[in-house]
Amino acid sequence: MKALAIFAGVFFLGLSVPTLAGEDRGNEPLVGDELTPAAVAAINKGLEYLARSQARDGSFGGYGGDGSGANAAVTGVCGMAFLAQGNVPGRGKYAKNVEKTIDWMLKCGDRTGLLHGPQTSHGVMYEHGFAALFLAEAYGMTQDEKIKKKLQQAMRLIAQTQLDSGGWWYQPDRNPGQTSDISVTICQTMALRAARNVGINVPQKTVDKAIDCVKRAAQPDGGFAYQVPNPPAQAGGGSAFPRSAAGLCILYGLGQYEAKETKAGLKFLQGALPSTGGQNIGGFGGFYFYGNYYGTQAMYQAGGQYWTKWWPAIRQDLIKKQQADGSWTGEGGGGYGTGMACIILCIPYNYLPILQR
Amino acid sequence: MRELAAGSHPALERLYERYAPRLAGFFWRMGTGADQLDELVQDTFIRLWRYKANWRGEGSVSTYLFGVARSAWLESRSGGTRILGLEGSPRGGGEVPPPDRELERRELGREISGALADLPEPLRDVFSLATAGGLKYREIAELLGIPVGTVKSRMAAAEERLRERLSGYLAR
Repeated sequence: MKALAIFAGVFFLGLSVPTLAGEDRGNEPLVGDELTPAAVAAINKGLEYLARSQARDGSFGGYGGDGSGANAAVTGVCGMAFLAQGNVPGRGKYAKNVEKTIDWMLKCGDRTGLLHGPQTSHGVMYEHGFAALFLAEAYGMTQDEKIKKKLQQAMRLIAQTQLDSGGWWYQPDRNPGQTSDISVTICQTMALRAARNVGINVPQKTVDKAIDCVKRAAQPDGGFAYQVPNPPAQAGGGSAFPRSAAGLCILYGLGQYEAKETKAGLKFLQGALPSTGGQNIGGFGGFYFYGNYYGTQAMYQAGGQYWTKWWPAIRQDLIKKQQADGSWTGEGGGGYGTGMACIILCIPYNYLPILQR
Repeated sequence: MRELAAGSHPALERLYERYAPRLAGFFWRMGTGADQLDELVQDTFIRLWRYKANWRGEGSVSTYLFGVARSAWLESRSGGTRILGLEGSPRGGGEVPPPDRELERRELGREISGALADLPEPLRDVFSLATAGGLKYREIAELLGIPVGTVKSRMAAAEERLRERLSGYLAR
């Protein structure tokens, strides 16, 4: 049923049916200008880099190459990059890489349901959120019951660690009065949304509290602030492109199409077209991949002229930034950057369940 | 617990291996459905980890842990997710019994489950903590904030009621 929904979505968008992942499409663009030969070549080279970088146990290395060993967030992002091209266990050029990623993910973490690598990082809830998102997408594309059980445990942890301020912090530890970090919050909420999309029961009150938290982060200029206090207080402190892209993406993802915060966020993001300067200029401090990962999804969901203006800009910018070995570097290091870039470039394939409008 | 309080994941794993089956048994005796046992066990360990800074090193680990478990159970009840009358008790691994034995086991499980569910909560609480939790009367008294004498009398009352209810099965 889910596979049918995916292909129905593809037809609705007017895209031709994508062929099996990894098949050589020659030099024909997929649809118009959306996936040019250069973009397809960049994706293929990027996924080859990831396949070479994957550890034997299926994991990918620490964020930023910090030598901390396997990182569940980076592994989740790289796993999603393979899925985004349509690779699943038993199908596609990178089927085995997906299988290995799933195997590692099913063994990672601890008895609370927290997903993390062997050494927990400072931002372990980031690891959890991205890893859980990968599990949701993988479950959506495979219906594997083993993935479902791990995913349910992951969702339970998210629900049980929600703060009074409505969101989440870097660690799951209880800390009364803790403000929510908007980026960690959106990371968990994306996972909740993805899990719900693939049939996992997610408490509505958890989602409602998260939506309220994100909305209270909205700033007068349409962007989103960093830390959110307990309700009903609004967050202050100003906007920045990466977290504002994330805020807009999750509001779209949770169906808040008509919310004033969504409309203002869309205007804000239009001022941050890739490679036009402003805040979306790349470099480590700019969290380029993070911002454009969410921003591109948000514009894809918004559709129309928002998408037709954004997509060529980010596609061109990413192709320009790819290294000779197929990787993308910047914040997060080769694995993270390459995974994010490939996910972004693969959005028009519309394979990932989270992209369903 | 000291290691857990310091943030040790191996310590969490050791506690899980030692206590998870007892916790599942406790929750089952408190009327939790079989399909929710894993969730409540997970909830208990989430709480244990989240509140690890609260551990003061006083009292036994069992008392502390079952106190956390009881909180998780109470919260699950207030959320309206409690399911009673499951078929049979939580099972470990092992061979699948022949069909007639399986039917008998399921029927007994339903009876036990029903008998436990019909116990007034104060009695069920004490009974579950003592049997599944393996807590001593002194520990139960500390956890529930009641005198040891009250624990003993509630335990006796629970056993009496269960004996009456299940006498037909006990005689077989």
